[in-house]
This record gives sequence, C-alpha cells and structure tokens, in this order.
Amino acid sequence: MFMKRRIIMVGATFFLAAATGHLMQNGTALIGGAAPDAGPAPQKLVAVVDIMPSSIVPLAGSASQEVMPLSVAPAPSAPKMQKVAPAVPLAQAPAPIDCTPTLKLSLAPAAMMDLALSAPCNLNARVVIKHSGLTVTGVTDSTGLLKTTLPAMSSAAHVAVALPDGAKAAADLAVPALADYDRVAVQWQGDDAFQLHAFEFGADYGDAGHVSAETPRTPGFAVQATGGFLTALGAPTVLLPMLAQVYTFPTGHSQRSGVVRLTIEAEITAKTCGHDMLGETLEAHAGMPVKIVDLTLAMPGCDAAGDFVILNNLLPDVKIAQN
Amino acid sequence: MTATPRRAATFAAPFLCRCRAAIAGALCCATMASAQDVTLTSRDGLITLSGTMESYDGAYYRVKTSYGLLTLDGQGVRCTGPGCPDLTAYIPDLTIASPTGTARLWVTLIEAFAGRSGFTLQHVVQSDDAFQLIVTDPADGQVLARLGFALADSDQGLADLQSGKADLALSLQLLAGLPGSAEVIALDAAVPLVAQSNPMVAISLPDLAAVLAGQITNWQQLGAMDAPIVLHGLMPGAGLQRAVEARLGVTLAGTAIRHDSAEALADAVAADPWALAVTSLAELGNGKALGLSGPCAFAQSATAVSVKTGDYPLSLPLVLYAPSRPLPLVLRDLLAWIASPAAEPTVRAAGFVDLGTDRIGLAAQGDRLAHAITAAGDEVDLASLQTMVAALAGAERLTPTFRFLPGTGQLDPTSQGAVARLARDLEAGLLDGATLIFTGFSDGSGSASANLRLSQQRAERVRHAVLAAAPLLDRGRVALKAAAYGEALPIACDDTAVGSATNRRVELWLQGATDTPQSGN
Repeated sequence: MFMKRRIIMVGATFFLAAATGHLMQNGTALIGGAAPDAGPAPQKLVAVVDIMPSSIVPLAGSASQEVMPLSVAPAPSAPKMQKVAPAVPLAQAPAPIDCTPTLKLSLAPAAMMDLALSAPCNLNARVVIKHSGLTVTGVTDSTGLLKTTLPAMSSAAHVAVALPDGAKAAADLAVPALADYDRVAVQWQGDDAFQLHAFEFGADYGDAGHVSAETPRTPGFAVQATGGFLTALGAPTVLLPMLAQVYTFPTGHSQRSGVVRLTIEAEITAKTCGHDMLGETLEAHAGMPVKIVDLTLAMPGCDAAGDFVILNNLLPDVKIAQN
Repeated sequence: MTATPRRAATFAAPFLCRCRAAIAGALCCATMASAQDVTLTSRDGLITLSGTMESYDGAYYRVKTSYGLLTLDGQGVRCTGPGCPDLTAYIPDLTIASPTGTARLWVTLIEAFAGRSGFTLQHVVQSDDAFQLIVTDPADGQVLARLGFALADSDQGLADLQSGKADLALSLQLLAGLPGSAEVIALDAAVPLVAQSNPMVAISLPDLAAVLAGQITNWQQLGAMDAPIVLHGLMPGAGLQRAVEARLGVTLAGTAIRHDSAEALADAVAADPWALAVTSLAELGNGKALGLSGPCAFAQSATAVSVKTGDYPLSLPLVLYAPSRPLPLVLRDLLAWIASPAAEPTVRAAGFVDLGTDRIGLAAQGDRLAHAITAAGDEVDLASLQTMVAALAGAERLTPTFRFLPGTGQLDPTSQGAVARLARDLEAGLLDGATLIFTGFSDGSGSASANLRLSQQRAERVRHAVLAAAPLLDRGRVALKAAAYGEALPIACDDTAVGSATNRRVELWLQGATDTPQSGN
C-alpha cells in the first residue's frame, strides 16, 4: 500500500516535471506572447509597430474633396529591426520609413516642367497634381515614384501634389521661357471627354497643320518655331480620373504670321449623350494670370451617337502678328 | 432660391383671383391661371394700384392695370400680393440677339465685365450660336445674371427685339425709326480679302462693287494675272453681308461660294490665290487685306485710326439696340461699362476697333496734304490751302469725326456717341486749357463756295450739339471754335456715293495739347 502511493507520487512528480520542462521550453509558442528572456526572437513572431494605409479608395461623391486622413496610433518604440524592402506592406522587420513625399521640378524645352514625385508610403496611389488651375490625376508606381512632364502655365510656377492620405508636396520653379508661348487647355473629369484641336494657318482636318491628341507633335516643334504641340495630361486608369489637353504655340518666335484656329470637340457616345458635360477651359498668355472658365455643354440626344459636337467660339484664335 | 414673377409658385390661384373692373374682365381669365395679382401702394399710402405683374427688372415694376400697362419705380411703392417678386433673390434672365461672328466679342466683354468685379463666369453651351453666360458671385455662390445668346442673322435679332423675345440686339445695320435706343459699342470694317500669294495690293471702290456684282470676272481686268476671280461670301442674311451690300449698293453675284461663318470664309479665301471676298476686319484669318484706292489715286487701308475717323470708307459701326422699356440693373451696368474707356482694351482684344480717342499729328497726315496739293486747282486754290495749314499748325487731329445721316441734319449714331463722349470728357475737365476746332469739309460736287458754306454750317451744328450735351462745362476753361474749308482736303474719291459721303464730315482738331497720351502707331 505504502509502495503503491510512492509509485504514483513519483510518477506524478515525474510527469509534472516533464510537463513543466516542456512548458518552459515551448511556452511562448503556446501562450503567444513575447517572453522577455526567450532569447532570439522566434521566427513566427511579428512585431507590428507602424501601421500606414497604403491606399484609400475615395468615397463616391467626395472625389473632388481632400481625402480625410485616418487617425494612426503613434508608433511605439521598438527595437531596431533589419530594414526590409518597401514592397512588403506590413514590414516584416520594419524601420520607420520617412513617408514625407518630395516633389522636384526641373525645366524642360518649350517652357515645360519635368516633375519627379517621390512618395515612399504611397505606392500605386492616385495623386492629384495642381498647377495654376490645371488639376489632373497621376498614379505612383510600385516604388512610390511618379515622373511626368507638365506644361508651365505661369512663369512663377507653383505645383502642388495631394496624396490620398492627406499628405502634400509642393515645389516652385521659375519658367521665364513661358513669355514666348501661348497655351490653352481644356480639362474634365471621368467620362466627360473633351478634345482640343488646333488648325495652324488654315490647315484642315488631317492636314499637317492639324494638331490634336492623335497627332500631338512634340515640344521640339515649338522650340524650333515651326508650329505648336499638344500635351495630354492625367492618368486615365485611376478611379475618377481628371484629365486635360494643353495646346502650346510659340507665339513669341513664330516664323509664320497668321491665325491658329482652336476648336473644342466632344464625341456623342452612349455615356455622354443627353447629359451635360462639365469641363473647364484655361488660357495662359504672356504676363496675364491664367483665365479659367467653367464650361457646361448640353449634349444632344442619344440618337446622334457617333457624331461630334464642335465648338469654335469657346477659345479665341491665336493671332500671330508679323514679327 | 430663385424667383422671377414668371416662375412664381402658383398658390391656390382660383381662390385668390380677384376680378375687378369690366376692362379687367379679359385679364381675369388670364389671372385665374397665373398667380400674378399684385397691389402696389405708394409709400405715403395715398395711391393704390391693382393689377397683374408683367415683369420686374430689379428696379421697376411693369404692371398691367385697368389704366393700361404702367411702369413704376420699385423704390416708390410697396408691393403686396402673390405676384410680388422675391426682392432678395431676383435673378435677371436676359436674352441678347447678335449676328453670327460676334460671339467672341460678347464673351470677351462679359468676361472682362465680370472679372473687374471679381465675379466668375460660366459657359453653358448648346452650340456655337446658342449659349448662356452665367455670372456668379463666388463669395456666396449667388447667381447674379443669366445672359442667353442666340446668334442668327441680324433681321431675326431685330425682330426678336421688337417682339420682346430679346432684351438687346446687336446689329451692323443702321436703322432709323426703331423705338428705344441705338448706341454704337465698337467699330468694324468691311475689308477686301485675298490670299497671301495674290499680287494685288489695293482695289478701287467702283471696281470692288463691280467684282461683287459679278460684272468684273477676271483678275486681268484689275491689272493682275489672267485668272478668274473666285468670289466668296457669307450667307445672304448675314449681318456683315447685308451691311456691305447696302454700303456699296450691290448684291453679291449668284456665282459666289457661300460660307456659314467668317472663319470658314477666311480659310477658304486664304487657300486660293484667285479668291476674293469682303469680310470683317476682325476675321482676316490667314489672308491679307487689300487697301481701297481710287482714280484720284488715294489709297486707304483699314487701320484702327482710319476706321475710327471714318476715313476708311467701309467702316461699319456695331450698333446695340435696346428697347424703350427700362432694362434690368445688371444690363444697365454692363452697357455703361461697355461705353466707358475701361472696355476699350477688351474691344481691341476681340479684334474690333474701340471708341477711344487717338490723336494724329499734322506730320502723320502727309498723304492727305500731298493729295490736297495735287488736287488743288481752280476750285480750291493754293491760298485757301495755305490758310488751312496755317490755322491748323501746331494742332492735332482727334479721331472722332462727325457725319450726318444722308439728307437730314441729324448726326449718325456713331457721331452721336462721339458727341456724348466728348461732352463727358469736357465736363470732366480732361481738355481744360485746350482749344477745340470743329473743322467742316464737304464733297466735291457743286460749287466750291456753296460747299464752303455747307461745311461751315455743319461745323457749327456739331459745335452746338457738343455744347448742348455738356451743360456743366465751364466755357472759360476750353475754347470751342468752328472753322470750314469746303472741298479742300478730300480723303476719298467722289466717284462713288460712299466716297462722297466719306468726304462730307466735320473733323475735330485740338490745339494746346494736354497730358493725355497719344496714339502709338
């Protein structure tokens, strides 16, 4: 009897000891918390320190407003971890990346501006670029970079970029070459697609002097004063795209004198027929502030689908006098 | 938010209809359908008028009463009844009729007018010829006015004005006898247009008339290459087309190629070295303008100065016709601004000639004087030319030039506007210390002495008109004189009606220069 009790006690003790040992060895995994003296961090552990939303889809109807930033809990101090590639949204071993977006502008031929945006925490993000009334969408690549070329509309150019999380970046650039150029633009949102056509010195549709999004030419034309060119702006693939077409003519050093006629056109499609199309026209002439006019075009009914509405009088002809 | 009497909510109309006098019996049936009954009471309560509200323009009520249609100053009466306008939220909804081709002029003018007050402008467009401009105060988003434009030929525009469909009508036609007012707001000119590669430089008025009529058909008859003249023109009803035909006394030949717009016309002419058309100075496109010459070999090309003075024979005033009823306040403000010097740069930007005063020194008039010397002979001898030059020595010619309607003693609308503007400048003291000389000239038909007397009468008539228009002028500060030189200084050839009408004029000369800037040519 006494022996039986002893055996049970020894067995239980042994069992308890074994269990305790097992618990001690693997306890953190079972419990799921970080044991302070557990030694090197086990592979499965993740320390989540700094949550930053990488993209926010704006609600319908608020496309034109700033996206409200989400409140983010302050990052707790964490041991320095190995820096990981930013391609992983939730950093496996995250370092506090500087999310401040930077914008750099540099001069390009024909009074254009090369724009370089770096937004390391806004990857594949829809951004809004604003300059002197021009408002167009852009999209950063998978590394948070956006490179594009923008026509300057003021000689003291100020460009601001708004990011989806509310962050902003801005830059200034002096563009004295703008004094030689005239620019007109039309811009719109979504499917209200307007088109800008320029007919230089009596050109007709399809002639060499007809400049449009299909035959835009290049800034080199204007630099050599042989004609104007058209720039299409805006990323069309994002949600609620804001797009523009800008026509530039080298009025100041044109070799020819005469008139460039400008028309704004809109195709009557299933999406645009029977509605009011909304847009804005912008005009930049040397030394004057940019003139912006709201435009509402009442489109014909849907039985006219496939036709175009052509408006000649919205933008004044560019008149080039003999130099 | 918005309410004009026409859109006033219909309350329970049948219960509120009050059929009054027998005369208003016919009105009663109308008022049963519309709730426009109003009672206007004078501020002292002594006079009460009842009727139906026809319209309210922001300042005046137009009320149909048993006494007929009455217009009452809104500030003098109180309005009660369902037809009373919401005075705090009145938005004028106006229609302006204008010839095709003047869209840019209106857009530019209204943009500038809105911009100077910090208002924003919105285009609501159905087509190039049918659009609205909406003027908004950005501070509170309040719509201040809706200006609707219907561009058509000028006959339609004037008809719409008469019927009340339009509140204003712009036209290139000078029509007498229309009720309401007519005011010149800008100047245009009819210009012969050819391609840049065409060798011609000038054409005489009789030749131009013959070409348009189809009587001259080959460039060789004009002294140029042996090639057919390809005539182009606008549609028959177009304002510019009508004005040119009226001025030259011809109708465009049926062989002419017609175009819908001045731009299309200019582009077609610029593309064909054998083409010719008469078009607006504001729409030369890529072609070139020919000067107007004459058998007396005196060529005039259309420049800002030659159009302002009317020395260019085919100057065409743009006349704004307004009805006799009072216009809404915003429209009155717009018209006052258009008539003011502030609007002159905008008119120029639209391609037309403004109404500002330029000065021409004697030295810049060498062509005229040389021609006068050449033409001097029996009728105008050298002595009278010398007298004239001596009298005008040290003086400058100002661009306002006064002409009379044919066969009457009445000044034409351009000249009436010039009288009003000169009177305004005189009263404002802008010409203090100077001497103004109204110099009369005549055409060459008839005897020189009779023409001298005629030109003297004309000069004195203009001087009198200016003094009458400037009652506040202190005569001690500015001297106004009248002089006349008859046939001495012709500026056009007398072989056409247009030419001799151009010669019959009263010029304005200024002695004792003031500080106002000179025209930079």
